[in-house]
Amino acid sequence: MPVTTPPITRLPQRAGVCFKHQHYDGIVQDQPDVGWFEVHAENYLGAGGKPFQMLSWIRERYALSIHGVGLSIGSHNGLDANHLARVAALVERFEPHSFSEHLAWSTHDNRFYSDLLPVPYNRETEDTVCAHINQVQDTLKRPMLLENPSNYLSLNTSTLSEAELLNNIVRRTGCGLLLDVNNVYISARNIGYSAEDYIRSLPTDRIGEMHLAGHLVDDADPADPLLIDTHDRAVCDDVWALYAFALETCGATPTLIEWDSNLPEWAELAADMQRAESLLNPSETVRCANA
Amino acid sequence: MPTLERFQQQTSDALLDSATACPEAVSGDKRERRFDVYRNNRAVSLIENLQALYPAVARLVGQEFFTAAARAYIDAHPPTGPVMAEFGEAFGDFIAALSGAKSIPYIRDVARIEWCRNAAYNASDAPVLSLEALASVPPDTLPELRLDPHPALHTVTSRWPSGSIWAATQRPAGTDAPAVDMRTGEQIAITRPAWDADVHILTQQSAQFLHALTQGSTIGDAAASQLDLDPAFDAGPHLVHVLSLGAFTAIAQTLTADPTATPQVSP
Repeated sequence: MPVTTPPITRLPQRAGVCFKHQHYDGIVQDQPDVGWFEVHAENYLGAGGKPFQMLSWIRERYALSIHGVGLSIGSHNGLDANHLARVAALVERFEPHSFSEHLAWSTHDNRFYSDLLPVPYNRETEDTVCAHINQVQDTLKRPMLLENPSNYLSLNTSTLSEAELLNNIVRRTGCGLLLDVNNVYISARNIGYSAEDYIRSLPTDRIGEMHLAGHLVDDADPADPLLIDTHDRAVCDDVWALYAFALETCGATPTLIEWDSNLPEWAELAADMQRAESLLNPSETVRCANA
Repeated sequence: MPTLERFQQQTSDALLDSATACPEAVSGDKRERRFDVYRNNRAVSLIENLQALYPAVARLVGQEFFTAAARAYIDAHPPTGPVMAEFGEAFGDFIAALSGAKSIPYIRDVARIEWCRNAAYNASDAPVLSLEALASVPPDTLPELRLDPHPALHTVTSRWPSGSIWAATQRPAGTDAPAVDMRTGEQIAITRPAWDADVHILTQQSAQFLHALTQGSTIGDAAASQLDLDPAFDAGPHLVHVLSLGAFTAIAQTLTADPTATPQVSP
């Protein structure tokens, strides 16, 4: 009996942007042509008020992605059932076109560390993460996308490559991947491997979304420059080039411009979105730049 | 101990105490510098959240002191969950206890106003009880009514003019602060009639009348308590005032007075 696999994303094949409250009035006034919006789940878990009112307005007019930043999928001691229930209620209320989370952890013994912390790449992590993804997918009644992290260090307890681990997780859970191209670029530079080889070794047919963002180059130690995933500036040229490679390798994929801190005017965010759109859907965009 | 648990315990220890070495599983000869990225990300992110939550406190104590206090707070009171709107409630008490804040004793109450604004902003949605709705009930039943507080209503009682001090922090940078009489205390109500939280400074009588109503007193009992203190008290204007702020959401469903209930009036 054939098994129907649900699609890993219902987002349109377009460029989208993160929704920030500072831009809300302008968005309402101009109703710009945006493929979709993405929000962090944890910013919409209050009891009510303006955050929900704004998100409802967005959801009635645009496709929506809800991106979790606090489920702590990589925690050894299990998911926080209360937090998962709150996220599930949000997903049920807004019926987003996609739900995604990270290959990372952020909570340990009831302390939240407000960062996406690394996991060792080995069988123990694979079993833990797979169990948690199954729990999330069962609770949300939909497949989720798992995002690759930005790496600043390696762990000597890793026995698999990141791509091997992601392949195994996708195969075992049926989840999709959120390919953060900026994170690939950062990790490849910080750890020292080929970003292109990494992308080629992923299950490219299971990539449901891509992320683009700006990063900081910390060269306080000139002998060991580090790229930091800051989401506080425009996407750099090298990441645009890697994005073009990722599209070539994986095919057209809904793509988000992430910008979470030091927020620009809407026009600057929209310019990055339009640049992504022109790479993602070249035939539908006026190609004056290459004429 | 399995590797994942040991690594997460060691990471947690090293994040909360910068004197603790990074986890043993971190490879390379620049391991502490690499691990510092996570220490720094955590601090920057949590301090930014406190900054967004407490802009008036930051303006009153100065940026340098605020950042130092926030950095100490996130280690002393780390968040217990990932919802940042629920993080930072104890920051006012924390900063007020620092020796550098002794000259500004009102800082705790200004912080309380900012926390209550955050709570009001995220409170559940509910209609506001209008004066018209109350006027539509037969006048002789009015004293027997109880009112349900709006979920966004919060009150702050301060020995200092904290509402006026908070309001002064809202002025544009570079403009002169209005004169505030530091000898007077203030009663403050925070409401959210639509989407944004409002801060109101109440008279002592309005605040006590409001407090009795929010504690479940009937309108008649709440008025009687004030009449005991001031024979000239006229409840009408006070009721109109607190209703106009959006303090209540509905007339309580149970009209029968509870004989065991006694009005509670704040001193």
